[in-house]
Order: sequence, then structure tokens, then C-alpha cells
Amino acid sequence: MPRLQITSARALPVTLLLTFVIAFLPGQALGWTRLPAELMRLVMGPFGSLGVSAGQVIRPTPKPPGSNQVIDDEFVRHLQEERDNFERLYLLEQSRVDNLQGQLEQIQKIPLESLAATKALLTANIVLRSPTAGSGSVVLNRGANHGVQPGTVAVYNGVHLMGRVTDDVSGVQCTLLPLTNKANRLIECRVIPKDRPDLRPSEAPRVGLVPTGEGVFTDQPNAAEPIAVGDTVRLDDTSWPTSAQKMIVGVVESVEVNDLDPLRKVIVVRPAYQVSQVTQVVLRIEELDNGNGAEGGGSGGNGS
Amino acid sequence: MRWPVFAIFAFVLVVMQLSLRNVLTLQSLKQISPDLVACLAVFVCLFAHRTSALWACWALGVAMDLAPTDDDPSYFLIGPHALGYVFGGFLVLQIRTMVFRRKAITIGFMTVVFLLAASILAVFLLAVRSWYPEAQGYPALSEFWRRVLIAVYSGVMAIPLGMLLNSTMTLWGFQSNVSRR
Repeated sequence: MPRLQITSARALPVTLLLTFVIAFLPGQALGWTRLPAELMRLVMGPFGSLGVSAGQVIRPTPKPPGSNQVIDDEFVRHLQEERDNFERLYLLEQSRVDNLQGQLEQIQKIPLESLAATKALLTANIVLRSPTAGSGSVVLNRGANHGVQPGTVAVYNGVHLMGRVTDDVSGVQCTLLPLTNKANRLIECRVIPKDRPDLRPSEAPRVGLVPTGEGVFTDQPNAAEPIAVGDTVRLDDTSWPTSAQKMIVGVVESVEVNDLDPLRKVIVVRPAYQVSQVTQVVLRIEELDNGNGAEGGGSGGNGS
Repeated sequence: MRWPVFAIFAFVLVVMQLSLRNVLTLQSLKQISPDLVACLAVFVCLFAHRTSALWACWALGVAMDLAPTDDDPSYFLIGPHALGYVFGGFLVLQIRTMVFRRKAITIGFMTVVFLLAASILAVFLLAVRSWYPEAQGYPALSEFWRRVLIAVYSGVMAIPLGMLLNSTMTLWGFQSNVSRR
């Protein structure tokens, strides 16, 4: 036994020296230490698990806020329902944003100078359409409560005249008679040549357009009038409100010689936008005492 | 000293040290945990034969150096604990004749001394290694301060643990010719 102790005592400095050397070896030379460490982990693993479990009982790991709820199937279902609902609300809001963006674009396209006679701009959605005719009157979701009066002009993309409000104006709704409706009978306009857009309107050829009921207008001006396909036709009719003057009615689609009356030619004007193609328009509310504003309003009645 | 008894106690305390660490961790004080294994080393150093005590310190230190870590390192460095514990044990051996070894508070105080000595050597060793090429920086001072806190905390925890160990004295079979007080 004493020999063993002596051996042990001699071995200790050697062991310590060896340990000292190992402690200063570079990391690349210490890869072998993973083996004893793994063996140690193997031996201690099961007991360590027990200890960790016991530790969790004595001092549980603090959970993040809100994690104390019981995670059962019903709770998960509830969360999924909430997620789906929020997704629906998100899409709904996205749709509203798109809608508002469209309205804003519509308003931004209106020239500033034409706003002089306008008291307010009001975006209106088309809520009802005529079931029979494409040019039939439509119902808008704006009414007298919003300032709409009979004769209020409706435009699209700022300068494209779409029609005007009839006498049928309730508190929250109104009826719009499209420009192409036959009830509008005669619409006085000026034709601005496409190659001379700076021509003064007073010098431009004058035409009296008649809606055909098929979404276009026709007229038979003097054959000498310099009217060509592609010319822009703008409103110049005193029976319409001031805010509608010089608005675009359409573009000359065709110019043909009238076989029955060679001194005249037949022109067809087609609006850039039809009421049947759009979902919303901008109403240009005018002051009540505005001169010739509403005098022609509702002239066509319900022309559907 | 009966080595099987030492092995059992060492195994239990190393497992406790590794698995129950979170129970005794002081989250608000640099997340320090007591070194329970050091308490055992001090207990052995107070009563065992000098050579046996140093061997026990070395074995406990190696076990701590090879202890599983949270990550998966490419190697385990044997030395900081192994040499540190031996150095601490050597210091305890020098002053054990001057203290009341059967008092639990002695184990507490000696644990602080033991761990301070072990910390000096361990921090020195790790600081030197940080000078190696491709080695990361080592905040020696702040690490030493953290180890000082661990030493104090371990000293406090060593008092009740020392009481438990003292109650098992008969199992150990210590045969020291040093007079006990």
C-alpha cells in the first residue's frame, strides 16, 4: 500500500505537468478531448435529464408574456378563425384603398381652371344601371344630402363629360342621364382639329350632335367645315352648366359624304368613355345661384 | 479516503452542478451559479491525505473541463478547472491546519479561497490562450470579477452543503494524521 501511495505521489506532478502542457496546446491538437467528453455526457445524460426535470419543478423557466394560455385544439381553431378574419379585413381594406386611390386619380385629373365654377367635387359610385339600354340612366349613390342638385354634371377622368343629373334626386341617391342618351336631343359642340389643338374654340367648327342611342352622336355639318377623323369634340352649349363647358364629348370617329345631300357630310362622334364602362364618376357640384347651371337639368327625364 | 465514496459524491455533485444550475442561478447578478463541485473539493482537501486531495481536485477539475456545454465545441480544453482546482486545493492544504475544519462555515470560507485561487489560474490560462493566432479576445478582468462573485456565492452555498458533507464523514474513511479541531 505504501508503494502505491509513493507511486501516486510521483505520478501527480507528472500528471499536472501533462495537464499544463495540454492546457496550452492549440485547439487543433485537442480534437481527441471530444471522446472523453462524449463518454462523460453518455454517463451523465440520464441523471442530468432527471436533474433538469427536477430543476424545472423547483424553478420553472419563465415563459414569455402571453404563453400561459392553454394550447388546445379549440384554442388553435379560435386562432385560425381570427387569422382568417383578419385576412378578410385586410383584403377589404386593400379594396377600399384601391377604390379611394381611383377616386383620387379621378379628382386629380380635373383641370384647375375648370374648378372655378365648381363648388365641390364628389365621387359617386354607380349603384344601379338600366337593364335594357347601354345609354340608359343610372343611379348614383349621392343625393341632395351630399349637395347634388338637378343638372349637376358628371365627368370621368377629369374632362370627359358623362352626363348630368336628372330631377330625380333623393336625399341619398340621384339619377344620371348619360350624355349618349337620346333624351339629350341636341348638344352644341365645337370640333377642335387634332392638328391644331391650340385653335380658339370660338374659331372652331360648330356642330350640333344628336345621340343615336347606340353610344355615339351624329351630325350633318356643312361639307366645307374642316372636320376630320380624330378631331376632339368639346361641349359648347349654354343649356349646360358652366362647369361642363369645353368638356370633352368625344372624338370624331368617321366623316362621310351625305349621298342625299352632297353639300353636307355625316360625322359620327364616339365618347372616349361610356357610362356603361365605368363604375364611378365625379359630380361637379355648382353654386345654387350659378347662372345657367341647372336650367337644362333633367331635360331628358328618365331616358332609359 | 475511500475513492468509491468520493466517486459517488463527485458524480452526484457534478450532475447537480450541470443540471440544477438554473435553480440557483442569480439572474440579476451576471447570471452566476454556485460551484458545488468546488465545495466537495474543499471538503476533501480539508480532511484527506495531501496527495489524495490533490488527485481528487485534479479529477474533479477534469470532470468540469469535460462537462457538456450548451453548444457543440470542436474541442474541450482540459486545464482551466483541472489546474485551477489543484492550485486552489494546494492553497487549502497549506492553511487547513489553522482552521476549525469541522465547522460548516469553514468550508464556506475555504471555498471562497479555493475558488479565488482557481480563478486566478484559470483566467491566466485563458488569457494566454487568447493571444494565440485566430483566437478570440478574452475579457480577463470582467471574467475574473465574475468568478469572484461566483466564489463568494459558492462560499455561501457551501455552508449548508458543508453541513451535509460533514454528516457523511464516517463514510469517507479519512485517515489523516493531522490533528483535527
